[in-house]
Amino acid sequence: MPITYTKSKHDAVLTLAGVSGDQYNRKALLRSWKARETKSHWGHGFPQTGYRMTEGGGDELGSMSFNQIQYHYRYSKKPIRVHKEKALNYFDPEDNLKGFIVHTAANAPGNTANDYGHTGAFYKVFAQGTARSHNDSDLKAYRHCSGSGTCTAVSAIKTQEDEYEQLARAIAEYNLNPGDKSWPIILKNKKLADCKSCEYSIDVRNSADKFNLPYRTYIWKGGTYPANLTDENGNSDPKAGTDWCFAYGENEWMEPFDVKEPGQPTRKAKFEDYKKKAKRDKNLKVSCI
Amino acid sequence: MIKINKKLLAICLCSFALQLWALEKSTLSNGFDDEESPIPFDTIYNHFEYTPYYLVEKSQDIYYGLSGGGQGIGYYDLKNKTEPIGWPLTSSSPCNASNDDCVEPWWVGRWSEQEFLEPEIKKRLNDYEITLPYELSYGDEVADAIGCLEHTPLRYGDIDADSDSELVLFLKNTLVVFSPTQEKVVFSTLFNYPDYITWQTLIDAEMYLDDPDANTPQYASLYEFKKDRNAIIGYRGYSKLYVQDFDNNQNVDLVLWRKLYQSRLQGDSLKGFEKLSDSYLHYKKVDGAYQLQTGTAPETVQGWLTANNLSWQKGFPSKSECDGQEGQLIPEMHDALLNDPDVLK
Repeated sequence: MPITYTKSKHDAVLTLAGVSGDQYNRKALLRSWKARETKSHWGHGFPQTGYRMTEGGGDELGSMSFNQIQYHYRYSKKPIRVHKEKALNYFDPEDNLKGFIVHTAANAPGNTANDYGHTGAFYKVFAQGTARSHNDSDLKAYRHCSGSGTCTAVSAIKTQEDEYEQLARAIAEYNLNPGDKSWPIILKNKKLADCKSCEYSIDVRNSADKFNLPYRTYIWKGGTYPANLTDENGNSDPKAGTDWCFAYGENEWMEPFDVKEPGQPTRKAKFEDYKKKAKRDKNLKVSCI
Repeated sequence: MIKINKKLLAICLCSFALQLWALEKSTLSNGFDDEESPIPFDTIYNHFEYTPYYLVEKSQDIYYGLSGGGQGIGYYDLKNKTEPIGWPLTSSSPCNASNDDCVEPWWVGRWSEQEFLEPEIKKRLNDYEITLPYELSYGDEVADAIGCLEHTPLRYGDIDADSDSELVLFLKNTLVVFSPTQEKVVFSTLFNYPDYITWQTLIDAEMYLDDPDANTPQYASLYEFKKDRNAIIGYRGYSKLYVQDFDNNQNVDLVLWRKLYQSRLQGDSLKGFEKLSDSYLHYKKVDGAYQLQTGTAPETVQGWLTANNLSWQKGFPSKSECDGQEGQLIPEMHDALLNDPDVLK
């Protein structure tokens, strides 16, 4: 199989997120990933039993769950090649998990070895692809914050995606292509309703009942303080003329605040709403780095 | 000696003057955002801890605001600092929870059954559960706004010379006319229906399709690719609006000329699209809101346009508002790939 998500890459992800320990090894990540899938793979039907596999979602072209690899628009005109060629039992949960790994690492169609009719998400991101550039001068920095509110130090953003962002995009890509931008720019530009695969990726990696990595928050430039800014005593404020920033990242994207507006139903906040709110609330402004 | 009826002449001149530019950007008050003019936004925030996305001035210290969701209008009296009044742009479903058999119509989330869409589009919306609710473009979508009209999504002025001003909104691909007097949407049309991408896009996305042959479309449906990764034929459609007293009853009519196209097949010698339909629709204001006049024959409406020398390019919208392209024809609506001589004149 092609080499894709190596231990060194995984260790880099953990370092960036500020965590360590066995509970964060790659095996745990795989378990968390499949935990996301399991609820739709097992236990449906009547009578309900944890031993029943979900097969099909209405038809054999758009099949769901363990049958999902039969979805020919996504997994080739000759589906299940992985299981046949690797001699894996499609109906054995352990073998099916191995099939998932082979699929995810499969290289591009047309290669002599490991051609399973599609390019695996991890192959695309970690073997074939390169880190994407952010190309957004407002993106300044990032930090990671746990559910309890403990945060890592703020670090300056790199020009291109780091390993954490590549993993985020790779898991989203497995679910459905989230677009052609870098991970933070995807989050900036797409609402939750428009990027189900973003929700999928964040849930797998960051939810407390899954892999439980601390969420990444990005620090964005929101504007510039007026040149004549004064403090409460009327003296010139040292922030005058400098940039102010605000925080918006994975947790904000997943759990946005409610926006109540005249004339329309309450809606979920977007990137712009966080910026607008910070513009007029000094408590929401953060240092750009 | 010919006697000229001055009143009639005035009406004729007025009607003539109304056409085309009644909806042009230069004839309306244009809205602005927080970056362009922050002071009224500051005032609204200080009193209500909320800011709309766009404002347009009605009179001194009185503004209309467009919400960030693009589904509501607010009325802001910054003189008296009264609580904002809100009006929904969208209609609600006629179905209720007790009626299981009620099928939600396609226009829920938009104007009403008065809006016209071609049967092919309505069938697609129904078959694939695609919705086209009013909403502002967001993120990447903003760059796709045809003619950059949506870059100024809120405008205000009297578009039909009845001394009662309306709000004109551009929400993604839909033109919406909202009457503050009526407190409701009085007209709406999907002026751009860009449901197409090249077939090659599907192949590049590793959708494993049968090898293309002569019967494979040149363009696929964008909406179904994005929603379900399905491969079905692409459509594109446009509409043009004409504002004038066409039936000479001294009241302004709205005429809508719509065109729908379908992708040509790869075996076709012509590249691009073929026309499925021209639709000619007549709207008249009844009790303050425009109503589709089903009794006006399409041939009659077409005849009005011909008699008044109103070509496709003379309808609204036609001119781009994009930086550096102001005043030029909006390329998509006048594209040679449509293989339709109408759009070239």
